[in-house]
Amino acid sequence: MIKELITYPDERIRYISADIRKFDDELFELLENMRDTMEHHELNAISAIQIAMPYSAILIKDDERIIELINARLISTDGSEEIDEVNPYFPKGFSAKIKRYGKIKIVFENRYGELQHLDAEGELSQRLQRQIDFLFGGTLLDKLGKNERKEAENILVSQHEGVYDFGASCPRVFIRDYFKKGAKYLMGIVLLSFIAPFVVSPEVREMIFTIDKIALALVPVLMVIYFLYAQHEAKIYKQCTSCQIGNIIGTTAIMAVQLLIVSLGVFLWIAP
Amino acid sequence: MARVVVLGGGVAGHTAATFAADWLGKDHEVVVVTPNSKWNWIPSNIWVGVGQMSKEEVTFELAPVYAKAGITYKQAKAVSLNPEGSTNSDKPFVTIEYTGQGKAGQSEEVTYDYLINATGPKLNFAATPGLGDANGMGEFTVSVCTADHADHAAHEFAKCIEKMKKGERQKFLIGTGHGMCTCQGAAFEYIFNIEHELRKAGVRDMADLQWISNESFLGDFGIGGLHMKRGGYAASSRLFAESLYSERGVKWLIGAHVNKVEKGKVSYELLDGSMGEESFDFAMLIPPFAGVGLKAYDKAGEDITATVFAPNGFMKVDANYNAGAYENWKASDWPRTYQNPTYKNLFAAGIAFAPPHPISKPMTTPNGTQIFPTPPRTGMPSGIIGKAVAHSVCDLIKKGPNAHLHEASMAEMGAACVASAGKGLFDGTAAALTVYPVVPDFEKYPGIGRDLDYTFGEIGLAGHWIKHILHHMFIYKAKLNPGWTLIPE
Repeated sequence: MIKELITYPDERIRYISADIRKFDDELFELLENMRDTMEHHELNAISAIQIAMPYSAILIKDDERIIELINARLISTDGSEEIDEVNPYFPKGFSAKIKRYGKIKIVFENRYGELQHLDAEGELSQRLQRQIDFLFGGTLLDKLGKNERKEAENILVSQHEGVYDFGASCPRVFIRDYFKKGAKYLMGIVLLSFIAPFVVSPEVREMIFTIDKIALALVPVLMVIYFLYAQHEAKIYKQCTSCQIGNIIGTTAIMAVQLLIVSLGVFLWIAP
Repeated sequence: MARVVVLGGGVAGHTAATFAADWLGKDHEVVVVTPNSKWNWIPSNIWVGVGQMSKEEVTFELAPVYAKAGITYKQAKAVSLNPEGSTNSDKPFVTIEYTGQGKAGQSEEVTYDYLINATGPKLNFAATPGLGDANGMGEFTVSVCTADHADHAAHEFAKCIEKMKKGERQKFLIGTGHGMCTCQGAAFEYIFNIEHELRKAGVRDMADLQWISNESFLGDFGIGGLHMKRGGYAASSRLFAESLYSERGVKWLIGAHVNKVEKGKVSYELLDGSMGEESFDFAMLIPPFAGVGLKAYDKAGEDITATVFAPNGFMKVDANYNAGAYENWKASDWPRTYQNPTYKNLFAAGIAFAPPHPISKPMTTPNGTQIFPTPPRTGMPSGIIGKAVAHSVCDLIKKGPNAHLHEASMAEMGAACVASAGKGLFDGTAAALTVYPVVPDFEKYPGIGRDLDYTFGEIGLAGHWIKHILHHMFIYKAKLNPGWTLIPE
């Protein structure tokens, strides 16, 4: 049966494919669906995840035959070559220069669970590497350096303006950061007032001391709001970064130390 | 008064003994039998192995700590178990042979009411010709498995740096020394610490680094890989590992069974059945683990080792050892109480218990050679298991033989690990990873068997800080300093 082919910007391509543990009719049906989909789309290789099935199965054309690779593993490599890779997941016309190993040795199982191996080089080697990357949730973007990746992402976003935004599952800006910034700005303003004793009259200095005290009283309020709201956001976006709670506690602790130092300065230096 | 005998003073044994002594108080006796005079914080051996820490910094004398805790300490190795006693007495006992305390070579029979086997592994260097023999590590390679090994490795490493400074190119081969090894994580950490130190010494361009391991994919680490959060999706440790190896210029070879070590050369077989050789000037190859070779005898003196221990020498516990093929493996195969099914007053903790099967996918070459990682039992699970077993034993003593046993299944616990690439507080990067559960539960978490909300990793300098904190915190805890019971395993 022909299945829908996952293409950019569908993020399911990032699922990690599980090892196939049972070599039964369910697997045979999956392989048939992959074959039908591959032929329908005139592809020269397909991984199960490309039809939204996160299982470690690949079909690849080698001359006229189609090789079925279950639980494929890349165990040794030799040489490296830079290629302009076109990837069926991405839109037509999109390519990126990446490095692929020249010669590879892979082991895999056939549909009956028997261990096989294959030595490949050239174009077949490149295709195999591309398909094995899919099994581990990787695309050619993962092979790019930081700057090249950003550039490639910009090209993709511009081609799909309004359709897709990288990192859409996580907000670009957390609201909690506004409270953190507020607390920091207030402390920054108080810090600026440290030059007051040099340049202002005692009356003005007293007024600045009062303003500083108000500002310093507001900082813990913002910190408490930051801490509570950050906990709320961490629950909503728990998939975004892995150590949010630790970061929130750490950030709050750092701000508390900063507040303590600035407060000491105000009472020892600014106070008339 | 009941007597609890703990065999082994590593993470699992030390945790079990110290908690048991704390919970049982002076009404009962806790005896620790360990051939070592020192406790070793093994994760920091990596830093000893590159000369960034001394072995004194990762070890401390056990005797004063056990004296403080009221634990009877016997510096000896266990030789055999008599869980039914002997013809003269029904009291079970363990036969030990002293290695120190002025009684080296002397034997003694120590009776027990409960026995916790936490002997850890035998470093089975003899499994690979040339890697070592029955006496231990061979002359061609180094190891970081013990503080002494790591200290030796650091000296050999320093010699290589000197050679490179004189213009002599050196090749470093690091990984696993057999097809059935575990602890790939330690070797992974070591190769990147070596790489970091080479750069610091200004000789990186004079060095070739080669990784060799029995993993079937880079980043397997013996637990079938793990996953890092990225943009709301999990990224495989394979992608992270491959990009790290590529970025640091480390060549890799996996699915390899090292079958022979000679001076400057290893021979290996790959998963496809092909054979190859790899040369080296410096090689750190982790040996496979085996049980320590304890024998067991019944009341009449008949050998019952096969009843108490699995063929690999680890003690049988409440695991399902008949799970069969890979497709039938379940999380429920893994033990929960670590009680021996035949002798209910015998428990095992840490590496000493026999796992029901591996965690990584088992693979065999066309020649019939098995090449896949055996299950790791790192410090965190070992400590948790040691504490749970101590809890069970204390309850059995205090509440009677029907007391509920405490459970700590590796299929229901997480583990954290930090793989550093250097020791500095301001330079280098490290991977800090958590995995939950350690043993994948394919029924509860279909697909990869792990809960991605609790399985994640971060790469950055903070990993170094975490490793420093863990080093000091766990040595503080193991020394039983104030508040030690509050520090988690």
